[in-house]
Amino acid sequence: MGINTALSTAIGGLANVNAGLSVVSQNIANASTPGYVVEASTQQSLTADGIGMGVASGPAVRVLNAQQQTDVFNQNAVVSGLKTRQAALANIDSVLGTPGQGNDLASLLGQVQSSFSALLSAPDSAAQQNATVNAAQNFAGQLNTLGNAVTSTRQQAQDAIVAGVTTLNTTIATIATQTKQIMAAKASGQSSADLESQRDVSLTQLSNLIDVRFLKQDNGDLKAITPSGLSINFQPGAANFATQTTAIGPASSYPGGGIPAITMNGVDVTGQLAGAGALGGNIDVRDNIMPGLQAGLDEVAQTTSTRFQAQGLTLFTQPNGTVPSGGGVPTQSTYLGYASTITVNPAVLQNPSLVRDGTNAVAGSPTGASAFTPNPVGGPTGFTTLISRVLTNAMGVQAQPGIAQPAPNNNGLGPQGNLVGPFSGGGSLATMTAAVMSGEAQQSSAMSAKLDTEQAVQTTLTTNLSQSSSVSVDNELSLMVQLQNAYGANARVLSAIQSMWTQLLQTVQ
Amino acid sequence: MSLFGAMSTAISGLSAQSDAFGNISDNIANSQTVGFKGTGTSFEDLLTSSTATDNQPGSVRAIADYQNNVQGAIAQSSNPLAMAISGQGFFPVSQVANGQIGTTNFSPQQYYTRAGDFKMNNSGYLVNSDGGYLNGWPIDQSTGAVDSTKLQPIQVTQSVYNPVATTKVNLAANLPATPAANTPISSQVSVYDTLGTSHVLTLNWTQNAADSWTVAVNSPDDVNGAALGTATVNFGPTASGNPVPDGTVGSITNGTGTLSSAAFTAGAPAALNFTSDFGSGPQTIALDVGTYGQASGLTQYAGTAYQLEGITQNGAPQGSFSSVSISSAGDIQVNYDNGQVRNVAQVPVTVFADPNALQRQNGSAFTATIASGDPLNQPAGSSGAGSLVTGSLESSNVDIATQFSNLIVAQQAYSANAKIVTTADQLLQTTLTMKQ
Repeated sequence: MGINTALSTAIGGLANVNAGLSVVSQNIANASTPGYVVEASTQQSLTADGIGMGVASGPAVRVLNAQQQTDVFNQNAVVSGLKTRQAALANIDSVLGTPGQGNDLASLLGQVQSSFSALLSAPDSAAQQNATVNAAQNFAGQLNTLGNAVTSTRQQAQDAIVAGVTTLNTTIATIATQTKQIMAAKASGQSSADLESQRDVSLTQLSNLIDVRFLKQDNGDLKAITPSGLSINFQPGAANFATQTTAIGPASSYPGGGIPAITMNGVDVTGQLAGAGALGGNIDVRDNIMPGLQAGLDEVAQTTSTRFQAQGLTLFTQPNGTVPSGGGVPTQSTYLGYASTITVNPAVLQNPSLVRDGTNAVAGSPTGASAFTPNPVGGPTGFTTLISRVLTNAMGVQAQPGIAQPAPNNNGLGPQGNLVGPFSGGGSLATMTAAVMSGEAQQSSAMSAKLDTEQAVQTTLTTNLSQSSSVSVDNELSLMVQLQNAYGANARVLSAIQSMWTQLLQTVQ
Repeated sequence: MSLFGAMSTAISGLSAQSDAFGNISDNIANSQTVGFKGTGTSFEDLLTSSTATDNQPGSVRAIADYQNNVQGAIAQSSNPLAMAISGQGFFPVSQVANGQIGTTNFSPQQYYTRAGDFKMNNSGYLVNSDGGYLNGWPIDQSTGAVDSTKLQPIQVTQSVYNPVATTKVNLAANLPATPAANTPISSQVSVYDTLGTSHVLTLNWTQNAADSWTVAVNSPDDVNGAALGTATVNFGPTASGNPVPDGTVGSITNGTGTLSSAAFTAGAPAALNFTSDFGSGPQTIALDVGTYGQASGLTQYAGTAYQLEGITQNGAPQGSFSSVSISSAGDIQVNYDNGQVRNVAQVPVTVFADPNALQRQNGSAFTATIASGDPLNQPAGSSGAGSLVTGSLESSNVDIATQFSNLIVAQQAYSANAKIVTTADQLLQTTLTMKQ
């Protein structure tokens, strides 16, 4: 249709260049915006009745490798889960002390032993008796410190879970709002690229919290599932997570042990959230890692107390002066959190000479300690029977010659009776203490090593994603040159049409 | 006689050329009118007497040459509701009855137009700049069927989208062949009741023996108690007794409570049906776990942990009006903010046997005549009807360069005819001076 079609085609060309240039300028302006994905303009040729009618610009689309993005989201959850666990273990590392520096549990137990050795050569020295009590106090104090650190770390994890659930809800609400906008934009044929980049920032937040897979729909809608079985709809009220704050004690446990569940619309989903992600990491810290350490410490406290008591010196007790009875179901039920409360027997504190004389008579048993009668008041000041029993039996590997010390409980530990301790077989108190300490140290270093590996993977994946989806200013500038040329060419067509018009009008006089 | 005849012939030539001139000016005046179709001029000679030896001057008359079937240029528009027809055909439109502007009393006369610059007015009608109300075939909301026997003005109501109760849940997951002890396996999915309220359904899986699992369906919101029932799902040939590959669903048996399922048929969908009641009556939901004997949906392969691949349901909460758009098939789509799309009507393209015989009306509109043939409403892009280009407008099909060349010709022809008149006048003067 001649000159008019040429004109509208050229104008369409100019409009298309304008659209392309606005995408380029948006890209350049957002070159350093976090989470921004480079956009590309789209266009298609228009035809009617087989005749070319110019070009139609479409909405800008994002240049994004969806698989790479999914990998990054998955890795985010893995890394943030490990980070949470590693931070919790580092908390314990900081109070564990350094072997050889005299401030760790094993050295403090060694000091108890050496103070008894010193007492053996001077049983009547009041100063040495006091020194022995002090060494015992230091050992009990370190157990308290560790026990309290474990409990407070669990409390921090619980507080983080409560905060995490709140963040989870607000993030889901944000994503729901953004999804609604994206769907509206898509439905009306507008570009949703910028909105989607904004939504991706929220998705990254969510992927740090929980292990989640996103299913993007063509109409802009978004669904999320977790591999563990949850499905999250981004509709108002469709996924409402809840939990309550609670004060964590050594006996607190989930489920049924006083720790509230995390619910989604009223259904307990704690099990499905455990695993990767910061939320899963905190659940693991609260319900497995820290209770595992607690169980080891409690076992050390309980075994130390009973082995001393069995030899006739009730040196370590609860603040009320009694040693917790064992034999509960689950195994540790009667002495949960004993590590936090263990102290030197108040009777011994009042009368330090009891560390020489003994506190209780022992009947003697063919499978346990041999018989013992405490040194009565006014008895010989050079009484060393008890000190020898402590050094060779309570702190040794045999309850009496030929009879091995009973092995500590290693299975069915913790408030739920489902935890395993770090001990292997019997052994002396020093072996047990070392097992607890090296168990924690190994767990911590293994976690750090794993975190390093996964973080390296995360860095690689994130770099790959940003290389393929972030703005390359070089590309944008070369595109700009192309667009400039295209604009010039279209404008040239316009000016040709203009001169044709002039000629045409001149013909008609 | 012939002298006067020549003069009247020249006058008819003048009149015919001025008609052509009028058409050219009409065309140029409407060269920027959306959907305008130009009118050309053809000329016809009229005979008085013509024999083997004698020919009397006749005359000429101008005949309008309508170009209703000539495509105009299609240009992109910023109006998302704009449409252009690429190819033959017209949009059927209605106009309000005479003297009733502002009402929705439509004239029974059916109009046709190529002007597709439709906008939604305050009553929800799609109206073009010439006051034409776009007509369409209504779509039945329950069946989705297009009623092509009824053509009526399209009215979009900005109502809410009624909630859709869930009737189907699709589960795709791998159950671990050797599950870790003490690790509950369950999936949660939100379903919607008839009021659009969201409720959680929990599917708990427990392994009975190798390849045999029990699924318990629970819903805490169910008025008849949370437990909806259990069923046994068997995988592979050994556990199910059916010839299916290892790891695929072989049978679903022992339904308790409200759970039931269809018997095994190779290649048939494996589904569990159960009925829940969230307070507004029983709601039957089919849990689709794939196909018997095929590794789709639910499988049981090696592993110790449950791996959910996808769980979807077909319900929707209520939604509010978000926007109106037109698909290239001519469907008027109402978009709701819950992601649902409702097709309310389909715009047909009306074709005529002879579109150039249509009666022109104000506002780039046409009406059918006997000569044009009956209007034939066709879905866009089929049976000879043009296809729709959405978000675009058809410009006037007038080309000014052509009009200008016609103008030059008409001008010259007019001058030539005028010359005949003045010459005839001179000849008559000569004749008159013959007798003093």
